[in-house]
Amino acid sequence: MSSFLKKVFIIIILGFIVHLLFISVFPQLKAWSISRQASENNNINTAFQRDLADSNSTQIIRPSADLLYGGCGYDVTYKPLIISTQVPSTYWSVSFFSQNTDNFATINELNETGENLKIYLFGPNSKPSKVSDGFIVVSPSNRGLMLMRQFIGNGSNFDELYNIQDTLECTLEGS
Amino acid sequence: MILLRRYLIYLILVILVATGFTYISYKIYPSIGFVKNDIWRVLPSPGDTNRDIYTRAFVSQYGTFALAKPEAAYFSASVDIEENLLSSNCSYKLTGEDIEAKWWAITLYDNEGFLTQNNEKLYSFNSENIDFNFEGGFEVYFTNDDAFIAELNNKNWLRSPEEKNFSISMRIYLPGEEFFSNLKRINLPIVEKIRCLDE
Repeated sequence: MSSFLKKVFIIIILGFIVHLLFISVFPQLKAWSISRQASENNNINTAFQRDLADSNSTQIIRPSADLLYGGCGYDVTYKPLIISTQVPSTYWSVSFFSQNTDNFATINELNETGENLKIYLFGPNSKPSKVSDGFIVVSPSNRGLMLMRQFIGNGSNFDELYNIQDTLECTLEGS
Repeated sequence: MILLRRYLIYLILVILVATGFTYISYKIYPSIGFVKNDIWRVLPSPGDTNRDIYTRAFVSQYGTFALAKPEAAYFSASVDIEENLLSSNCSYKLTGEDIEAKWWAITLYDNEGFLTQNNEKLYSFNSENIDFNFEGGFEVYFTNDDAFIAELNNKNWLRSPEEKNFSISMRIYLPGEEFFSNLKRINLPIVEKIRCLDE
């Protein structure tokens, strides 16, 4: 193989490797950008509430107009996060996204049939202790996002859903 | 200095090749990553932890915090039954039957993927606020034609944007595990063109 062809071949291989690296890192960059916005608003390990999406909602592409969102960006490097909330009689879910945006766990009405929900979220390097009053979730990354979705149905129970949204709390253990 | 310049050229070439691969994968991915069901496209595992790197990258850009199966399925359509792009210049009728799931919703988006501005503040219909017909099915109209709206004898209509094309999505929550092994054949609504403003 001539020296020129060898160089072309190496450049293509290196280009493909750089492409794969970029594709692999892109979700982390996206999550990092979102969590940076959250931390600038002081929202890490603190619950946030969102209004129902409308035509002014341009933070996320293809937002749902049928779900009321709450949640918290989390950092469980040193301590587990305790998440507590009431849950509605309509569809709801509490889902967890790792730093690469994977949805690694979801708790919904099929898991919890009561009116109150408590979740202990641990980091990847921690040893979860036994808990008697809630669910244990282990995050594969120290940082990530928890989202709570509530289905608005026919819109007749907005007040209840907004009240429930206000009960969402995210607090580091011991704080 | 000459050596440094040469390595700089190599670096630029590598970045150009990488950009080319990324562009090609961005163009090709929708046709190989999505499952097609008539006019609808769906990603079989949008939020799953075992999804491939291309799906993860695509979803992080176009639906960052998508749920894993079996929690939800996200279908989208940007063409009618004749495979023509959904145009704000035309009025359409979506016809479907109730879907076995906890709930579902049909939402209209502008060409940038955002909810369409409208005085009615109506962006979607879901399984609890839609009007079903006597047979248990439903119709939803997509239009920006006020004359067409005045003629309608149905409250299920969503305003399409004033310009350009648009798309619709169908979210289906808790449809059951079996649903996901049958994504190509599930009975989903169809969208047909009724008329266009310039016709």
